[in-house]
Amino acid sequence: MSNLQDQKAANLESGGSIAAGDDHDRETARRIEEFVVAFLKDYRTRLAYTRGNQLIERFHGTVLDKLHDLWELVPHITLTIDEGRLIWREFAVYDEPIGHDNLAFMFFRDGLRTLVLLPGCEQGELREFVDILANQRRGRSSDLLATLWHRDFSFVRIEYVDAGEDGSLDIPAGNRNAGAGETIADMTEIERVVSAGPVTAEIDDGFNAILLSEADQGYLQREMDLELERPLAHDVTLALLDQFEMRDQERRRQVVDVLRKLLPDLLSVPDFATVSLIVNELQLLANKTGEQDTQELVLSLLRDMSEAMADLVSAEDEGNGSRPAQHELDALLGALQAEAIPTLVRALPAMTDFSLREQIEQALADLVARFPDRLRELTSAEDPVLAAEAARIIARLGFSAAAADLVGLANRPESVARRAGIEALGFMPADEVATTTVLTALDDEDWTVRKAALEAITRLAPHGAARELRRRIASRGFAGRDEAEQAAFLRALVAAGPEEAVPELSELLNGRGRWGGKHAAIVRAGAARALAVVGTPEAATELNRAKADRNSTVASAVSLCLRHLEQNVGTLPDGVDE
Amino acid sequence: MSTTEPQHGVSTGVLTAMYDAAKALQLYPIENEIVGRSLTELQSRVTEIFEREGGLAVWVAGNYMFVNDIQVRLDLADYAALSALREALRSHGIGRIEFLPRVRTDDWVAFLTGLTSATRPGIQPLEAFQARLSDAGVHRIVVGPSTALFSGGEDSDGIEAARRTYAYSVQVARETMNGLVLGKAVGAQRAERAVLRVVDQVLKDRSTMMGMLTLRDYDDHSLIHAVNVAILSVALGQHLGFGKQQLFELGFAALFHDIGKVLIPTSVLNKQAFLTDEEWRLVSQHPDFGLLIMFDMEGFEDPPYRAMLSIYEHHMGAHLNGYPRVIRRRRQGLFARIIAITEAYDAAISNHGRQFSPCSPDEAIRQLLHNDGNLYDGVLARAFTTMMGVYPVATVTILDTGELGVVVAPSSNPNALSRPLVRIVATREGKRIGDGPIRDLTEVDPATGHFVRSIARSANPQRYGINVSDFVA
Repeated sequence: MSNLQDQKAANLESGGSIAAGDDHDRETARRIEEFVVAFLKDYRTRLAYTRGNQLIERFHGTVLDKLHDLWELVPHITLTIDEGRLIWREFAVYDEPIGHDNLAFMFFRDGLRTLVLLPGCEQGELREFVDILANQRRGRSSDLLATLWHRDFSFVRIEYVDAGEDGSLDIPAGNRNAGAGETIADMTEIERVVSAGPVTAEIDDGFNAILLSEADQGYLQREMDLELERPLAHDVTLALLDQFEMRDQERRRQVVDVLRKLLPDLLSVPDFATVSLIVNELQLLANKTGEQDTQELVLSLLRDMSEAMADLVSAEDEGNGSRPAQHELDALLGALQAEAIPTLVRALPAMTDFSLREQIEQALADLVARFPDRLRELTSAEDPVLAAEAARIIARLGFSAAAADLVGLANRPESVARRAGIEALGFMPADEVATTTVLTALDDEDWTVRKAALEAITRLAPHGAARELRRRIASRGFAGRDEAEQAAFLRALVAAGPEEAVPELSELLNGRGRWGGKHAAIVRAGAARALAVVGTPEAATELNRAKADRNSTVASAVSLCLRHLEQNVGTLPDGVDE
Repeated sequence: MSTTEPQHGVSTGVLTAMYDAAKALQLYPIENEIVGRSLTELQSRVTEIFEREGGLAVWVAGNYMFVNDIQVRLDLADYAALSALREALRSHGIGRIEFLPRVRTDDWVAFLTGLTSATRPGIQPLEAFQARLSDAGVHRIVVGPSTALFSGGEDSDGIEAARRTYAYSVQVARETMNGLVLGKAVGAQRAERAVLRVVDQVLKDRSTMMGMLTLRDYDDHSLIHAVNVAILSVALGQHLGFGKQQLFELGFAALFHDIGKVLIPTSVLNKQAFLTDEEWRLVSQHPDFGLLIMFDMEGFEDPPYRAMLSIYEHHMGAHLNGYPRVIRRRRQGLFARIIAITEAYDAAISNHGRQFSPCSPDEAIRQLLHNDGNLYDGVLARAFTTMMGVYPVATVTILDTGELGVVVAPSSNPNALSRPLVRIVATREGKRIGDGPIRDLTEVDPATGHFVRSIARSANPQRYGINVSDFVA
């Protein structure tokens, strides 16, 4: 520290306080202390509340008021920073026990020794300064000195401790007097100079000697502009790709290791241009070398990055323009590996951008074609929603090799998984295991699963399904099922064997129920529609029998069905919904 | 002039108008139209400030200039003009100028022509200037000396502070490189602190910091070289008008420009004879290694891409005819071009080259200037020359009086690049002096009107047993 500061410290040590000094200084110190108190409140408020809170504004307003008054007394406020104190002249204007909450200690610990506030700081810099301190306290910034130095305030100045004050540096010392008094042995050169006489030729410096010409200044300004506009990450990438291309396998490995660190940063921006450049170039270069090691190296990187890239490309535009150009999207989708499959599967259901969804679906189809096992594995995912989505995609792609996995899914405890498994089995070829699984699901406790089973049967018409359906229709419990389920049963029955279904359907339409009365009108209407789907003369006969039914719902449905049969066979009449 | 022009623009505007008018007065007769226009522009700028703020005061503190207590931020476009103005004020010992209302044209003429006139030796420059204004009847422009900006905290011993900064930088460079060699995780915080100290020291007192280039007290030449290149690069950046943040980035890149050499065996690095093809192939990959190694440094808020590129490109050559080879189209960046020059200069003057002896600083400057533009950016090479002067700090010189001297600072007179300040280290009779006097080579003999002393030529310090760092560091 300078001698001046030592004197001040000595004054303070000897009991200096606000009580010392002349009246003007004392009054000023008192006002500065008030300002510091207000400053502390402002700082602590920012720690306790989020940005925008009215309390922060209020306390900051008080700080500015105090400062405004102070400028009438002092041209600047210079505070010396002690371990636990802030000192103005010889007055301690802040003095608290040393600890993490001590503001002075926070400055001192990071090497700050003087803080100067100048008029003008209240126009924004002071607020920013307090924010920086609060962030520092929250641990969001690691080096307060460097942060303040980089911020380079105009009206908030800092001075920091000199390096080597603790004696830890090996500081060279000069010795001007080394050799003093000695006589130079070889004077030849000097004599030659003296004999040539005084120098008369002058280097033409001119007033512009230290100034660059306007053209030079223009050149440098342009170069600086170019430098500041330079796409740095992109250019670093070009350098790395050059290294990958021109060096040996060991260097390629090093480059890939570096890219492994670089890519997450690029993805977080997101810098689509550079990421797509990397994935394109690496794949090209790997293919160009033809070396398996190199290709595997590149693949390992793409595998590591696939999940993050899939996440990025499937994120829809949030209105901030953070979407890749089409060629960038193509590059990223083309580079994805199996590791991307779960992310894409998860993202698809929520996507509302139709065009993007189409492209993601295609990319997923391509990936599944290359890595079928990865999709199959997802049906065993712990997350039932993810497993269900995987099943839907299996169904959509017609991926029949995954049928066994769907059977497993259909036996999971979660209904969402069971339903998805059964639905998907409805799109698979009906083998014995799949059929048994679907038929068993007719008795599932969850109606959505049962419905899925009925739809699957309707679609597949598996062998033996008609018998199972008939058994359930004839059972006591059938009447207790809701009407939609009963109608679904009838549709399934027709699909399972149209002509064999006629007796049951006739019984429902024209027969008597368990208690002697006719069946419910909605069930009878459903039976009528099913008979229309069957469309045989026997079916038509049964329909005729009910043509004049007293129940208008039934009569209306029968009439529509008969009219439909006159025109078409095998399809439900329009307007007759299920 | 827009009344909504930002404050910064108004402050810079009045200072550049002052410079323009001073230059016009120097180049043309007072009746010339150009002079008239420039004085009118100046008056207009001053009037605007009076209307805005009620007064105008300009002051200089260290490397900073203030207009009405607002620091004037220099950028590249106006740096040359404002730095010339600042130097002119300093040369006359002027630290503060207060302008009273209604300054007349005659007042401006007297003031500005005074600024551009040479100071007279033997007379206190500020007193001489004040007398000149008084003789000319100028009462509305009041000049005064510099005042300290702060009440405490300034280091009065510039050399001591520069030495500490230098030593700290060497230590940090050593720790970083040792850490990387051992494969340890290396944090960036200490390196950042070293660089910001260098930047602050150069901004505060460039000449003294440049004197540290002569320190050769450390065994590891690579560390000295790294720190020297950092100092030179920051100094050149300052000379070009770089902002503080740009100076930091440049200094950081320069400090670690050769960091890739940690992966090259010392037996190859320190080999005094010519390198074999294989050895050269290895050494020439140090930029590649450097790029990759920088990714191992931790603790950055943002990755130091600009430093990485500078490290990678610093041997590429202005026309990409250097190394490493370029496959994907690029340009050698501005920072890399600066480092190429400063590195070449330090390598030329240092004693750890291979079969070559180090050359004198002025000879190194000449070599840079006479490059055909393939390796070094010609504009930057000239800028470097004008920053260093014809005889850079630490040049040992033989004066035409027969005295031996060591250049300790460039001339404060921008007209006299070849007339630096020189400390006499040996008399005409060849007797060595310890703490010899400092002579300003712009000093003129009033009887003859000739310069008292001039540099006849530079000299090899080893020939005369002179340890240059004793006098400048």
